Amino acid sequence: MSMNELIKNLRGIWARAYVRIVGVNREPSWLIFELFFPLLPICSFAFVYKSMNAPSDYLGFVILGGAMTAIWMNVLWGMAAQFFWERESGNLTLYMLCPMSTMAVLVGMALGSGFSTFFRVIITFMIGKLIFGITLHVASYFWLFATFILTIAAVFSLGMMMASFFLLYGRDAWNILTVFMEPVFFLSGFYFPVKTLGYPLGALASLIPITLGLDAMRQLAFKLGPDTAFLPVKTEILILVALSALYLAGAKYLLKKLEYIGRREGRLTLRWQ
Amino acid sequence: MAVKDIYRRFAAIVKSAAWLGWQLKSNWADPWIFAVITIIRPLASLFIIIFMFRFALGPSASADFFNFFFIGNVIYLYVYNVLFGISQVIFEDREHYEVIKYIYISPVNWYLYFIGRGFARFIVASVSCAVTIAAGALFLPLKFGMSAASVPTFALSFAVGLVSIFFMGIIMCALTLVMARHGNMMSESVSGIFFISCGVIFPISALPEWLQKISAVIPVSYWLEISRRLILGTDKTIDGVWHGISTGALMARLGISTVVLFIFSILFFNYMSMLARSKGIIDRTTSY
Repeated sequence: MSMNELIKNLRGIWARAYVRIVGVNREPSWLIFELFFPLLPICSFAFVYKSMNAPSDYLGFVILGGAMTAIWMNVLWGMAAQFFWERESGNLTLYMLCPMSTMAVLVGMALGSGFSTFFRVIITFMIGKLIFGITLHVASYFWLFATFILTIAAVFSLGMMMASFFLLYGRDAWNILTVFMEPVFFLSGFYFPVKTLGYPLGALASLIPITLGLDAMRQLAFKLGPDTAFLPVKTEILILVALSALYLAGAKYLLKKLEYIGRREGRLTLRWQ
Repeated sequence: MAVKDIYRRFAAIVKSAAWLGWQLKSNWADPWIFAVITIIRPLASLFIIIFMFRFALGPSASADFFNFFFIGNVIYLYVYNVLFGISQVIFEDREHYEVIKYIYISPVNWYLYFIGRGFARFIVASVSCAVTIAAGALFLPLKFGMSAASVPTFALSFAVGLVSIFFMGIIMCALTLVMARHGNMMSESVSGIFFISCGVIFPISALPEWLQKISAVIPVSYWLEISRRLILGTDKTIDGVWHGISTGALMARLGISTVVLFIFSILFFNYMSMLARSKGIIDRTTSY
């Protein structure tokens, strides 16, 4: 890639990310819904533990998991399904016409979403922490922050990979995507430690990066976290790094492959499929 | 026009709309793929709670807890699907398929059209419900004790509770008429509010007192408590909020609140559709 192309792609990344970063400030009503809405199931599941007189750290597990749902929902509907909406609104064609790689669009989308989601998770967690009076016992702020960032990176890489399928498929893929909500909340242990699932199922669930990210963050942030550990934190961090690289490479490969098929079969401009 | 003819006409509108809704919901996939997708989400929701119980209580989890959350979880499938589904119709017809103006000018009663579209969601919820009940019977230590004498009361409470959800769905739908695409988050939020405040998966008595007072006036709360009592064959559940209130009194509350909802839904829907028309936003696409 020449320097000129690199600059064009970097500009493309910034342009796509900019919309998402600035968009949040221009439409404050989104903030109410996106902070308020995730809090409702979080509170419900926290009340389940409360009604069982469970230790307050368990409520903390739920609040952290619930706050992290914002990342997964953003990956599903703001990343993976985004090409579906772009095609419906006619923007996808414009992206294809731009003098930059489609990968730059995806990376820009991921960076923009990652930025806004980062704050959303932290704010949701802090509100939940305040409501239920959770006490944190952080083993290392550095590793907690590093794990959080790595989890976001790995999950958004997976989202980029999933997005490429929408170059070919329409309503069918959109409907199938709904399957990745509650089943993933279950498998990844959003509301209970993944160790409860047992090691075989937990290992399978680890393909979704949020599983290991959540487990590591619980170990680093709560007193009872290490008692419920699925794997040691260092191992989980290494796997997260590997998954980020793997999904990023997968996204690049799939995007190229599926874009070619989409062009050949004339599916890039299809609407109301 | 005779009453019989009016009934036939209304039934035809609801039937056609339900059929359209069902096609939209299901015709994108092979039936078996659609079946898998329909059952996998409620099953996962069920397993989340089961594993939370397993994690927090271990083998000591009492059947009372399982019975309580299981019945709540099953009934909530209807609440979520119908409530969210009816208001979602506006976005599908207005923004996605852009056909709402054609439906508006056709000789159908709009209110009944949306009720009909909600029926498709009712069918989906019923399938999910059947699968959840089967899974619950397999994996949970459930102890149901409904007597034969309670069956008619249960059927009546179920019908009234369900109808109340349709009316609430129409109210959401009316609000959605004057909102942009992000209005669908509103119906999600309302479903979420019901999830937390109606004691779906935990007793209302676990909520703060001020929230308990709000919960005690929502029809879904009555519906859940009545269903739990009748299915479990008891006159009180683990939820202390309802102790001292008879099942008959709860039925009366459910009935009265449903009638109020019915009247309000008609008035509110007519007002909102008039407002949307006067503002010229019935067929507005917002590209949000």
